[in-house]
Amino acid sequence: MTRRSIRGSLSRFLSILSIIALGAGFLAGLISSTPDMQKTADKYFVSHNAYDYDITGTLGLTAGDIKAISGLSEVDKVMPVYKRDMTVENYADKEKYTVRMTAFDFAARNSDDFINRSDLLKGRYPEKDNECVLEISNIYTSNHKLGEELTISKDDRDYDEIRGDFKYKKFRVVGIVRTPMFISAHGEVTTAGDGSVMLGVYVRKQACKASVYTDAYVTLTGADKLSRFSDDYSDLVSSDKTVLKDLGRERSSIRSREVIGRAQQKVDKVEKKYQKKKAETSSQLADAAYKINAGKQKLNSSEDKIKASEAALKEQSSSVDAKEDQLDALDKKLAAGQAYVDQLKQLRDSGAALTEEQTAAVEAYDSGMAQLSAGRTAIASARSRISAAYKKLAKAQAAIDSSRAELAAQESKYLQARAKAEKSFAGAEKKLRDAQDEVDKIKNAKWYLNSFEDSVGFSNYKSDVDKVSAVAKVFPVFFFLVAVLVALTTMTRLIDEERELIGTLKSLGYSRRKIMQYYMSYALEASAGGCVIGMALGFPLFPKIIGNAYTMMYDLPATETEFIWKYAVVIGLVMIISILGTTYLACARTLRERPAMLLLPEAPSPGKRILLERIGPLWRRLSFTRKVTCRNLFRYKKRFLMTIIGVAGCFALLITGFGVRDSIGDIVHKQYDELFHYDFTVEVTNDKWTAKDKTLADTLGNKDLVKSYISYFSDKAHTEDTKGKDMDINVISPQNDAAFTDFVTLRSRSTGKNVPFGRNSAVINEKAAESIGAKTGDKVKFTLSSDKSITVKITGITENYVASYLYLGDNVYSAPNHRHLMVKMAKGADNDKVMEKLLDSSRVSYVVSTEYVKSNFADSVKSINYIVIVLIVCAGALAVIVLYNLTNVNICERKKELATIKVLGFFDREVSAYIFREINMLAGIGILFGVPVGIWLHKFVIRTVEVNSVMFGQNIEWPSYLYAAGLTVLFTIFVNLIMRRKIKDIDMVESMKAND
Amino acid sequence: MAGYIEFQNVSKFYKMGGQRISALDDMNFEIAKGEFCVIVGPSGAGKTTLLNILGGMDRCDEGRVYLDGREIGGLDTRGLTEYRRYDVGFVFQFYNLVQNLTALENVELASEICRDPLDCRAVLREVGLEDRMDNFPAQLSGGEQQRVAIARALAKNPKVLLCDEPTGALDYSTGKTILQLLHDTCRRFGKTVIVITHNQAIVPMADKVISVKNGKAVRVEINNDPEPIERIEW
Repeated sequence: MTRRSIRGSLSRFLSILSIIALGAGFLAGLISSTPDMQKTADKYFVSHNAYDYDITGTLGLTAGDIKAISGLSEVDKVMPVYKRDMTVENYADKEKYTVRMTAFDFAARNSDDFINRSDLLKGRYPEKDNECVLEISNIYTSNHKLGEELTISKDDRDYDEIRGDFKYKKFRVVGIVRTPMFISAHGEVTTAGDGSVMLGVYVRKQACKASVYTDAYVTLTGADKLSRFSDDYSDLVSSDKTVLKDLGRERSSIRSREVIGRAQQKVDKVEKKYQKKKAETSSQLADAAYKINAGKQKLNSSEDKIKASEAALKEQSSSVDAKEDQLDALDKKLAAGQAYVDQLKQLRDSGAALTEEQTAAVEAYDSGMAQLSAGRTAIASARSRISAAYKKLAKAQAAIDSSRAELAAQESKYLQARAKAEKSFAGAEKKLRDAQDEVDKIKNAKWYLNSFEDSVGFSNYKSDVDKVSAVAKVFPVFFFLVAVLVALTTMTRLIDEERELIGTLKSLGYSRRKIMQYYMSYALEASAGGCVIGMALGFPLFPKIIGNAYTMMYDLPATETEFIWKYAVVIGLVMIISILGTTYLACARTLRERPAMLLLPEAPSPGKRILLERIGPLWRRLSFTRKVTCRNLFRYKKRFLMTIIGVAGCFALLITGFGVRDSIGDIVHKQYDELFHYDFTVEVTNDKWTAKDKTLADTLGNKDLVKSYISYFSDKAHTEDTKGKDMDINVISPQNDAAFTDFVTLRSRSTGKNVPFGRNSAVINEKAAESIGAKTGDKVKFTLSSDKSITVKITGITENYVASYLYLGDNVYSAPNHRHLMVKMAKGADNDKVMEKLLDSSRVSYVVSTEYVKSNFADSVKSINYIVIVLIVCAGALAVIVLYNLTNVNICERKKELATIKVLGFFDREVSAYIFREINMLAGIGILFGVPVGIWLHKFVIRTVEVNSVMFGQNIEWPSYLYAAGLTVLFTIFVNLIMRRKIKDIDMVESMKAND
Repeated sequence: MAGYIEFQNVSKFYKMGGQRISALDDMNFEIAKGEFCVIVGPSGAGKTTLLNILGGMDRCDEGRVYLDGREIGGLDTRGLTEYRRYDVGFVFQFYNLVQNLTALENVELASEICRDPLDCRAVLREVGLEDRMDNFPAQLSGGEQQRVAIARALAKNPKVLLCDEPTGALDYSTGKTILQLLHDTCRRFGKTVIVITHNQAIVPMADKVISVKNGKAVRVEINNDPEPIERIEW
């Protein structure tokens, strides 16, 4: 009998079935999306042996470290790797990429101990040391191809070090892989390059020359049995962290001692050698100095002797002189006596005798003469002797002089040698000091424990999946409720319609139970059938659509769906019980009546005046048919409400769908066109470039390329948000505060008014302010990357959608450098060309094009369109089914009325209009009610799906309202068209029938 | 006088299972303008089919049907609708008032769509519902409801008033007053009134009686001296 009844009103049965299928399917699908996505990811992580911790040793990890790690009972497996973040270039497309290069033992990739196993998506694994495979965190936005060559970029800060660690600097891409290490299009955080690694490059272990490992990937014991999305996993990860940390401390100090000791040893050895050499040289020098001094002394003493001799000679010569004076005096005396003597002599010769006296005089004279002559001879000899002595002395002096000159030459040579030695000593000592400094500077080794949980990829995925579940809680529950309500109305209607049949059966003696059984089985078949169909479609369909929409942003395998019995049973039971329950109530109510009463038609609900009629002027103005419509609207309150709820829901879903698109599409435009006015950001290695870097100065000065630029200080600071979590924020402090707002518009989102910026300003973006709970006037502490803390008083809050920014004026923070530039391109200049020109300068470490960021971002939000489509399709289905059901009920209930007016001569069009005017009006009212619901829903969805650093627009553009309304109208018209047939088919003979 | 309404060799067949059953079998009759005509017959005689065809709700398979010189048997759906709209006033056994409309509005509902309607209030006054115009059907008695239905049919100013068992759901005396009203209408407005009933008792009041049996008009009687309603009893 049930079967026949179903066939008899197939369309009604189908409509109950389909609304239940839709409600159950949507609920099942969305609720299972989160677990499906989680399970797929978990399965992937387990099958690929994803790491739980990535231990990075600042001084590398030794074999001993690895052994120690694997010795921990908490650790399941360890795989040491050499891993390095770096900048690479692709000469072919002149692009630079920040990559994470890891050297693997590919041969072991299938062994149980291999952590982060990869899937080869394209190509092959490297066979040569200059080959690599790539992992692209977002395959949809990448243009990497097999065969391209990546070269370690000289721009990398640590180029020399990196280059030294690898056999080759150029690697050819031979394959594309997928691993659990990079799952997010957002990339992983790094200090290299532009701060975000989007690309994994994997090379053979043999390609790496480094002596120690940099990292150890670790899996924790028991982790593979836990879902990585579970709290248990978080607990395990954080409890094991302590153990690893302790080991890290221990091993780090060993490693520090080892590294520092080795370095110290090296320095000590050099110092020893130096000291030895210094001693040698010093003693040589001392010897030379001594010799020179001895020579000097000897010469001096010789000279002294000469001087003494000279003095003696002088004395002798003066005594000779004195003697000579005596002689001269004698001579004079003699000369004076000569004439007298001569006379005497003549006299004597003449024979005259001479007196005694005279004889004595002559004798005295003669002896005097003899004495004189003897004296004179003696003097002459003395004189010659003296002069000979003088000559000898002069000779000695000359010898001394020449020795002295020689000595002087020696001495200057010595001095030179000494100066040279001293200089070299100073140099060597400085070198030694530097070397020692280096050694002293070696920071103690430290282990960084990066958990898989905290990786950008996984944590984003986890929060996104959570968002899906948040959305899943609202939408389908709403759907479910509507479905139940519609199904209920229809069931109630069925029972009402068949009251006569019930009466007949009852009067024929059928028991209440038997009759009840019939309706219950109808309801059961419809609801169970609907649940089965809905869930059979919902479980595999929705998670797939949603999962794949997310896969656009993540590099994960396609979502695997499963039929989750747990949910199926709960949803099915709730659905079936609520429908059976109300069927029971409706049935019981009817069955309570006496059979005789049942055989009579149910008293039609009497006409009533409605409130509107009391507003005379308005009521009178309405045309007759409109009056009828108005009155009918309020006559069937249940249907009225249902339709309004259904249409309002449909409209709200549509608004949400379109609004989500607006909000997200909006931010790309707002952020990069309305707020950011610069075309490039440039990082220069040094802020004295203006004087030194002509290339850059020329480019910036070229009015054909660059319109204007501003230099600023940039840093990544962090602070605590209201939940006590660390939050990153970009600190920007422009050099020229006044001109800054030409490059970045600071304005309040709510009022649209500009936020002033000057030397004393500290402006923070809205989302960040909200996250840290700061208001204008609040003081907030930020820690800069240098670990320096600054506390600033917020002077303004600005509209911003992507990333977080804190803009500081000069007086608030005096920046140590301004080596970043915001560059505005000249009108008509070519983006690529300007970029190329900017990169020409060797001092430019990177250039980021706003255009590029914008298009990348726009790409990544495209996936949202899928969600919009899902929403539209669901909204459409909801609207059509609700409207169909209610219109169907409406028509069935009023068949006689419709047949009557047909008999009265209403054209089909007029009869349709008679019914549709009500439906359309209800749809209109539904749309009106849908507006606030939609706005709320949109806000809720946006809030839920917002990523931490991104704020989506809150606006719904007016075309979206139009689209939503248009589609709702379209769905309504669609239902009208289906129903028109049904109305046309109403037999006028109905009007002759007694019942109803 | 040529028939205002004419049935010429009208046949109508239904298929039931594999069998063809003729509901009307070569039926012929004429009704003159202004006549009060009663079509009478037992259940299954073909009254309803006759009513359907006469009321423009169905087409005949063979033969011709004329109203005021116009062939209605060959009209298409739209033509039939127009015919119902402009030419026929229908009074149902169960009144078929729109519950959600007041008496006046129920009348207006019909007059809305006519070319040349009568004043609705006047018609309601005419059927004696002056004080109940603003009442909803649920607030009216059966007789009053039928009066509204008659007023609704009349207000359209149709060429013919077609009444299907108009007293079928009414008690004896109310039925009588309704018949009186229909009779008065026929006389006062000069309307052709056709009453279809199985109640032989009311036959005497008719100007013309057409007896139907097995799909045929077995007898057409002209009653030159119809009896007043008050004297008829059943």
